[in-house]
Amino acid sequence: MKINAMRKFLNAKEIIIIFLITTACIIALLFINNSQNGKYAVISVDGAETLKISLSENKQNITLENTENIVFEVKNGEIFVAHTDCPDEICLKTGAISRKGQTIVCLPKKITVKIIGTDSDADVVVG
Amino acid sequence: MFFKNISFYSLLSAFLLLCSCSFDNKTNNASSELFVMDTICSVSADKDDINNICSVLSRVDTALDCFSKDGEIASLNEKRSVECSDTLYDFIKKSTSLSAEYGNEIMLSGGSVTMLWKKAQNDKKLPDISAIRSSLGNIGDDLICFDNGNTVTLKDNCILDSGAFAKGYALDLCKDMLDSNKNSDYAVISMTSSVLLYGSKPDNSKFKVQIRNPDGNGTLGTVETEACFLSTSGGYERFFTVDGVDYCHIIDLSTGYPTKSSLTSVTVFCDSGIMSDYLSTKILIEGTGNINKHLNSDLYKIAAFDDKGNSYISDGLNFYEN
Repeated sequence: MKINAMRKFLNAKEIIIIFLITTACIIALLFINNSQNGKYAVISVDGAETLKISLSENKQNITLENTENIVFEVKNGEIFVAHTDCPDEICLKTGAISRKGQTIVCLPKKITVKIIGTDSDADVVVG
Repeated sequence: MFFKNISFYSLLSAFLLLCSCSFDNKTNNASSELFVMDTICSVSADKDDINNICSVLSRVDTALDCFSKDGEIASLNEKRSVECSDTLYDFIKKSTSLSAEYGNEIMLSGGSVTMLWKKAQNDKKLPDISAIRSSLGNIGDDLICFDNGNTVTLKDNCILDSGAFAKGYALDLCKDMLDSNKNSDYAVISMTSSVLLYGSKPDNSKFKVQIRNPDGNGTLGTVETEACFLSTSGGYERFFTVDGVDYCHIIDLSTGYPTKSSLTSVTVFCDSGIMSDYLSTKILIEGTGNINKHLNSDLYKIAAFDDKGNSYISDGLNFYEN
C-alpha cells in the first residue's frame, strides 16, 4: 500500500519538477557565491575606505588621492606596496598578501590594506 | 495531484533559497578600525559596544603611552614619581608580577635598553657596547617603587617600556567591558599581534585563527579554538638592517641585544591578554631549549615554529597546516 502510494506520489512529472527545482537552487546558490567570490583588496586611510581593487587583474602604479609617496601593485592575485617613503618600510617588508583577513599596515601614513572575499573562513589572521 | 503539490514544491524551493542566503547577517555585529597603541586595531562587536571598545582602547593608550607628551608612562619616565591612574597602577602591578613569576628576559623596567635599540633602528646605527652595558644597570623591576596610594617612583635611571605587555592588557580591559555590558554575544578585537576572541559565534563553530608565516609566504597554519586571548611574537617584517645585518626588533634584556632565537614565530593561547602578550615574547626569546615546559603547561597552549621548519604544538590545540 505504501509503495503504491509512493509510486503515485512520485510520478514522472513530479520527478522532473523536483529535478528542476533542485537544479534551480544549485544554480541560484552558485550565482550567490560567485557574486561574492573573487578577492578584493580594500585600502583605507585613517579608517576610511578609500579604494577597493579586484585582485583578479594585474595592475601597476596604484596610487591614492590625498596620500603621497605610496604606490601599490596587484600581481598574480596578490597586492603589495611597490614603493613608499616611510622610514621604517614595514609596509614594504610585509610583502604581498592575498588571503582573506591578511593586512598590510602603514602606520606613518595611517593606511591599511585588507583582503576581503569568500575564499577563507578564518576569523582572524595573527602575526 | 500535480497542481496540489506545486505549492509544496514552491514552499520547499523558497525555503532552500532562504537558507542559502542567510549565512551572513546572522549577527548584530558591526566593524571598525582605529589606530591606537602604535598599531591598527580591528574591532568586530555588537554595534552598541563599538564605541565603548574604542573608549577603552583610547584610555589605555593614554595611560600606557611611553612616547607622547600626554602619555602617562612618558610622564612617569620624565618626572620619576607620579600618582598613577588606577589603570596604569594595575598595569604596572600585573606586568611586574608576570616577569617575577616567569622570567626577566622581558621586563616593564627595560626601557633604557629597548629605547637604545629603538634609536638604533631609527638612526640605522648600532648602539655603543658601553651604552648597552651601562643601560643594563638601569633595568630591574625592583627599581619600580610603590609608595602611598597610587604613587609610583622610579629609582636610578630606570625607564618603563610597556611594549611587551600593553596590547594584551588593553584586550583584558576590553573583555571586562564586554562582560559587564552584555551586548555582544561574540566579538573579535585584533591588534595584529594580539587578539581577543570573545563569546560564541552565531553558528557555535570554533574561532579560526590563521598564523602568518614570518617569511611573508602565506600562513603557517590554522588553529581552531574556543574564545580566548592570543598573542604572536616573531621577527616578521619589523626587523631592521644595519651594515647588511638584519636585527630582530625584540630585545633580550638578559643580554641587552636583539634576540637571535631559533624560533621564528610563537603564538600563546590563554585566558589572560597580558599573559599571552608577555609569554609569546618570552618564549620566542628563550628559543627551543625550554620549549617542553611550555608545551606541557596547564595555563596556556602554544604554537611555535623554528627556523628549520619544525613546529611545536601543545597537546589539545587544534592546529592544522594549510
